[in-house]
This record gives sequence, structure tokens and C-alpha cells, in this order.
Amino acid sequence: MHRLIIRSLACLAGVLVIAAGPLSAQPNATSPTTDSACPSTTIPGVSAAQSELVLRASRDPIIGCAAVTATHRVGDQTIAANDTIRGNLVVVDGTLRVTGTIIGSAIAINGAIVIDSSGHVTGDVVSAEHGAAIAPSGRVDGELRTLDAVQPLVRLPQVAGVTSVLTGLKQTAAWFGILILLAIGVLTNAGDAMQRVSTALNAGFGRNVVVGVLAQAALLPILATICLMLTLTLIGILLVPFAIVAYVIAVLGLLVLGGLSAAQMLGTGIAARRPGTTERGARLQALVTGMVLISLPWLLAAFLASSPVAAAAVRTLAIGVTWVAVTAGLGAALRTRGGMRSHDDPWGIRRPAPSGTPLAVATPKAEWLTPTPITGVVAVKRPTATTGGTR
Amino acid sequence: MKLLSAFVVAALTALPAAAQHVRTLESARMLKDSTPVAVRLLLGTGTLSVGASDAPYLYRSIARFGDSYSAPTSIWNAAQHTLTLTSGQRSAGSASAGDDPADDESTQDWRVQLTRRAPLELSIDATAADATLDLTGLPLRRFALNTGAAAATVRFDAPNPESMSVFDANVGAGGLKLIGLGNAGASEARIAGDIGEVALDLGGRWVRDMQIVVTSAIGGVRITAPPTIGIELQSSGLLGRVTVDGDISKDDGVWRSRNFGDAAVKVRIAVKSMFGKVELTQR
Repeated sequence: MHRLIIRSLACLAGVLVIAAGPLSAQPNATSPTTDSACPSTTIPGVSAAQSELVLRASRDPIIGCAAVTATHRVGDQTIAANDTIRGNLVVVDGTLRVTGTIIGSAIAINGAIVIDSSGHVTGDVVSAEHGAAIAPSGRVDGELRTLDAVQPLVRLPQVAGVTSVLTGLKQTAAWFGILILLAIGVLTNAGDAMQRVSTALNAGFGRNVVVGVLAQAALLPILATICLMLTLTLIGILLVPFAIVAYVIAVLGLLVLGGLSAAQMLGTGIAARRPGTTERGARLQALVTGMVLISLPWLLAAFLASSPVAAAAVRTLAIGVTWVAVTAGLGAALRTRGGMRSHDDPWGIRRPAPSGTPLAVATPKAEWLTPTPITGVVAVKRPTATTGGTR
Repeated sequence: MKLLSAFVVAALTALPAAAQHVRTLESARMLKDSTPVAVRLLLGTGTLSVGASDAPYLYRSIARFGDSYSAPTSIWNAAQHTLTLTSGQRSAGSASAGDDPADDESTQDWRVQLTRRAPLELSIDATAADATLDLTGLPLRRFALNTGAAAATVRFDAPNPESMSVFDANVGAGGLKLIGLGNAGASEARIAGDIGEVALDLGGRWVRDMQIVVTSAIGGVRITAPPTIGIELQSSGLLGRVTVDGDISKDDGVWRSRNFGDAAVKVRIAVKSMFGKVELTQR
């Protein structure tokens, strides 16, 4: 059953990844190359492809809007020695040779520009896309520019999409890696405490959520109260910064312990324990499984990064899931005093057993088993089983 | 673990490779007359090389830049004869495409040729760009270089046609290698290096005396001088020590070459180095 669930989750993940591919390839709505100040009307007298090329060129900051607002000509062009062109001139798919005068800028898109000895251009001379702006002997008052390729009209959507998806995946993977390291550390050093918190979570999830919410609401008032009380004395004032740091560390510790315990509880309920696995191995397996499950919405949000609305919705879901898990974990961690006590005996006081129930007898310590007392205490009564009552 | 593996495999297979776009912009402005021009070059990251040209242009710039960069710009003020050339700036939010320095899209290579036909006051700000500046033949009246974390090499292989007032170099952590300072024709050189090593080659054809002030925090200072000039070195610092090689003696805390009194050209060097070592070789 557990194996089936894991396989289903893997399949779901695969489907999500594949589905995210086409989504990420959708055009980015906020293209950096869009310039609203530049007119985007169709260029008269040129083909659709040439018009698109001119529009692209006009969006390129190196060429600018002059590409659209100018006079457009197609094919090889020559400005004769006695000719004067007033205004910007754009030649598409051809070479422009200037022996006369252009009062304005000369632009060749997919072509070259040659300014001859008698030629004069008062503005810039720009050649874009497979051309060159050459003025071996002519006169150019502006700048000569040769650009090998015009910037794409819209930044390739695949690149933008993949870029944002990769960024999201990197961040998710980084956080997952950090949490895994934390989990291994906690499991190694406080595995029993985590187990107690996890058991407490399993015993009453809703109750732990309520305790966690109350604790979160009380975090700042408690800190303020501590600081206020410390300021009553001169030494206490000096301790305020240390108290704040210690308090923050303690709260973070409880949050981490609680969150990881919640993940462990989740994983225990789903992942099947392999035969022959050690207790610690089983706990680690459950912990990782739980963390993967909690990370699933974050991963999905990363895959949907190119679709802002969907990503925001999934990210909200991810925040909700994570918050519930951490809040419940915090509640359980508090109820078990940071995993130091059992959830049903948080104060270390056993409840009265029902009448007639025999109380468990603690295993006698070594001194009770030796013929001669080794601690020098001789007149102590050995504990015996009793019925009922409170100890 | 199987679940993790499934994610990784699926993610790797679903993502297509990112396309790269690197463009080249060649720009130039024709030289109208020989009026002195103040030229300023601004570069953030990448590589910069500067040289001289005999073409009828004030400048010729060839910039190769990726999609991560904005387009290079040029501002020419005809009234004041000032020129500012700026290489493309790294776009915000482009880090993911350009994290890898080996990625073409994240590179920027800028070559600038300046005219030999008009006197220049050249100022270069290369924040984190490796700069190779061959100033041979450029008619420089003033030169200033500011770099941050990248290394800079400046060379004068031939005498400066103009007389330079100040050679100013402020290099941060990348260090400076200066070759043929004698050809710079400057009366004063101010060189500041924070961490990187400052290597000065005082070779070249000296036509006037020079006062050199080198300030270095941690990096060492290495000076190589030809025997034809007179050298005087004063060094002050916290822990740095001075080593000399050549016909140089110390008198009253100052190192002087034997020929200092008779030399036609005298170069006085003051080094203020906090921790770095100072080496002076005259051969």
C-alpha cells in the first residue's frame, strides 16, 4: 500500500514536471524589450517580414524609433551626388550608397551603408543585421554603428521561462538541502525528543495546532515581558541583548524541532518500513519522505514560475501547508517541553490510575540487587507493587 | 529516495537548454579636427583593451556583449569636446543566465581604439574588468585609471607625443603592471594600490624628471629601472621592508643610485606601504 502511494506520488511529480514544461514556454508578459514610446504600426511599402524586422530594429536601443518613423525603401539604393534627402532614411534588405546628402540618419537593416567621398550624413549611420557602416572618405556628423544582429522583439520565452523555473528550483533545492542537513543533525542528537514530539502530534493534531497558534500569538508579548522584567535591574539591562538572542534561538529550535517532527509523523504514516531497517534508519526514511511531501507544493510553484497567477496560487498553498505543519509541530514541541517529556505527562506527574489498576513497578536499581548495600544506605524499604492510589 | 530520484530525473529531462545571444556592436565617430578631447571610458565587468589607431576616427569601439548586458552607449559633447563611452551594464535579474563566468552570455569584451591625431585626456573606470591598456603612440596630456577588483596592465612602448601632466592610477585589489613609464612623458605619477601588487617598469625614453608616489596597503611594490636614469627612493611603512639590487646606496634613510647626482633625468620615488615589500632593481 505504502509502495503504491510512493509510486503514485512519483508519477504525479513526473506529470507535474512535464506539464510545467509547456507552461514555462509561454510568452513572458513583461518583456524587457518592449518600448511603448515607439510606434508599432505596420510599415507601408514593405513585406510583412521586412516590417517585422524594422519593428524589431526600432525596439533595439542601439537603433531606436528612427527605424519606424523614417522613410522606408527596399533593396539597393543610391543617393546621387546632387540629391538631398531630408529626414531619416531606412533601407531594408539592400545596400545604401550615399554620394549626396542626407539631413538626418541613414539606417540599413539587413544591408550595408557606404558613404562616398562626396557623401554627407548629418545624423548617425547605422547598419544592422549582416551589414556594415562604412565611410572611407565621406562625412558623417553622427556616429557610425554596425550591429551584427538586432535584439529579438521579445526575449525568447523559453529562455525567460526556463530561467525563472531554474531559479525557483535552485532555491527550493537549496532549502531542501539545508533542511535535510538540519534533520540529520536533529535526528542524530535529539532523535528521541523528535520521536516524542512526533508521537504527541499523532495523538492530537488539532489540539497541537491550537497550542501552536496560541504560542505564535504569544511570542512577542513574552519577549517583551522578559525584556521589561530584565530592565528592572541594572544588570538585567545589560542582559537584554543576550536574552533576546537566546529567546530567538530557543524559538527557532522549537520551530525546527516541531516542523521536522511533523514531517516525520507524515512520513511514518506513508512510507513503509523496509525489513531489516534499523530504528534510526526508519526514522530517517520517514523524515525524508515527510519533507518531500511538504516540499511538493513548493516544487510545483517553482515549476510554474513562468505563470505568475498559477505560481502565486500554488505558493499560497505551499505556505499554508508548511505553516500548518510547523504550527502543529510547535504546539507538540511545547506540550512535550521540547521533546523532554511524554505528551500525556508533560509535567512529569503521572495521572491517577483507575481504581484496581496495578501500578508499574520501576526496575530496582543495582543497590537493591546486591546482598550488601553498596551505597551505605541500609534502612530503606524496597518498593512493592500496590493497587490504586497516586504515587 | 526513489521519490527524490524521480524528481531529479524528471526535472533534468523536462528543461531545455537555455539559448545564448551574444552580439557585436562596432561604433565609430569621425575626427573633425585636432582639438583636444577629454575621453572617459566606463566599464563594469568583462575585459577591456585600449589602443591607438591611425584611422580617421576619434574612436572606434568594438563591443561584444551578451544578453545579460544592456547596449553600450556613447555621449559626444561637440561644444566641450568630451566623449563618454560606456560599456553595457549588467541587467538586474540576469544572474541566473550569467552565473557561470564561462557562459558566453555573461561575458563582455570591449576593444577601444583612440585617435593619434588629437591630444587626449583619458580617464578609465573599470570597476571589475581586466584592463589591458596599450597607450603606445596616444597623445596623452593626462591619464587616470580607476579599477576595483580586476588586474590592469598599462604599457607605453613608444614616447608619448604630448607632454603629460599627471599619470594617475588607482588600482584596488587586482594589481597594476606598468611598462615603459619613461615613455609616458609625465612629470608626476600617483599610483595607489590597496591589496594587489604594483609593478613599475621605468624603461623607455626619458625626457624629463618625474616624481612618483606609490601608496600600497598590503600588496608589494616592485620597481625596475634602467641604469641611465638617477633613482632616489624613500620608503615609509609599518612592516614593509626595502630590498635593492644594483648600484644603489642608502644615505640618511634614502636610497640613491650612484649616478643620481650626474644623471640627466632624475626620478624620485616615494613609497608608502603599510605591510608590503618594496623591491628596487636598477640594471
